[in-house]
Amino acid sequence: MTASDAIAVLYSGGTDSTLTAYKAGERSDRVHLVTYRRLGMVRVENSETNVAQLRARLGAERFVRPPLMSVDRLFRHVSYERYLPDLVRHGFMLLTTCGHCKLAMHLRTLVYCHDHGVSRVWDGANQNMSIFPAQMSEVIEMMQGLYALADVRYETPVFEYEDDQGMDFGSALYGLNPARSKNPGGEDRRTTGRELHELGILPQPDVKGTAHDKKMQARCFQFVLFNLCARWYYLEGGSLDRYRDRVIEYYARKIERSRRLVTRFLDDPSRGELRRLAGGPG
Amino acid sequence: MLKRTKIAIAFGASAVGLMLPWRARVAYSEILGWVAQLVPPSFTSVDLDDQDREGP
Repeated sequence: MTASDAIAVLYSGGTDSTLTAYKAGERSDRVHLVTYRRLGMVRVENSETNVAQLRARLGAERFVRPPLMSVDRLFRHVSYERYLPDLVRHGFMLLTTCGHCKLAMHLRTLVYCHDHGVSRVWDGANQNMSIFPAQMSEVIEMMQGLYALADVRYETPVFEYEDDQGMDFGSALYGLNPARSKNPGGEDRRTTGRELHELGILPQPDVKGTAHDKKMQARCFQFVLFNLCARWYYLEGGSLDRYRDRVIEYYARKIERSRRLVTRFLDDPSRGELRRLAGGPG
Repeated sequence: MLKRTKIAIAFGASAVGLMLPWRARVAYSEILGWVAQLVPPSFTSVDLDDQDREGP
């Protein structure tokens, strides 16, 4: 086993990333579970809950657990760089906080992979969480192009899974929209929660949004502003397709600028803006 | 009417959010979250079936 066989998993501790980590553990005997913190996130340490479950099933030595890493500076950079021109061109897209956050995490992960010789990155992106920029297939493809600059392969092994809640998950949060009924597709859906339940990792197949879920992962209140803007402004006032088009256009520009950061970083990994924004080795 | 009200609220709240720097926007989001919890369910039509589901 070499470092290049290792897999880095962007690990929140939630259902999708935990199944992703489990699958990585089946594939590789060196899995780096990288978890990030930043201002606005609370209880990030909750992500430890399912790490213990994973280690108990596949072996403790298989899962490398680096210290929690801050993405504050990267997040701030991604959110506010070229602010006025972007504001004029993209308007409320600048409030897609969850997309900014994930882009910051991907950039930090790219630096982590470089520093640790890891050439594969997995995360728990899922097709059903379709209002989230980083879980749209077009944005994922752009991210794959970004990682490819550093010879890192980025994959989303649970993307095709169904979900008991789909894009409506989060719609009930703080009462921002109607919530859908539970388990609309019955018991035979192939979901990440059901698979983890069958593995004995989760107490029930659908925990998303429950008290148990809150004990597994961080909470982030900035989601509220994003949710309000995406659901009540873009979706109530337009359509999901129109919203997606705007997201893709905006993130194409964000990721293009990120490519310049990455290119300069690869030219001189010890210096430069991305190294400064990422902080020291994790 | 409800739809227009939602769009107007979202527009106003988002416009404020756009004007805020980083730390202030984090605090603003948290305040919005707490305020939103006070909104009557009749306005937001949350299914009673899903009442055990909580915030982010």
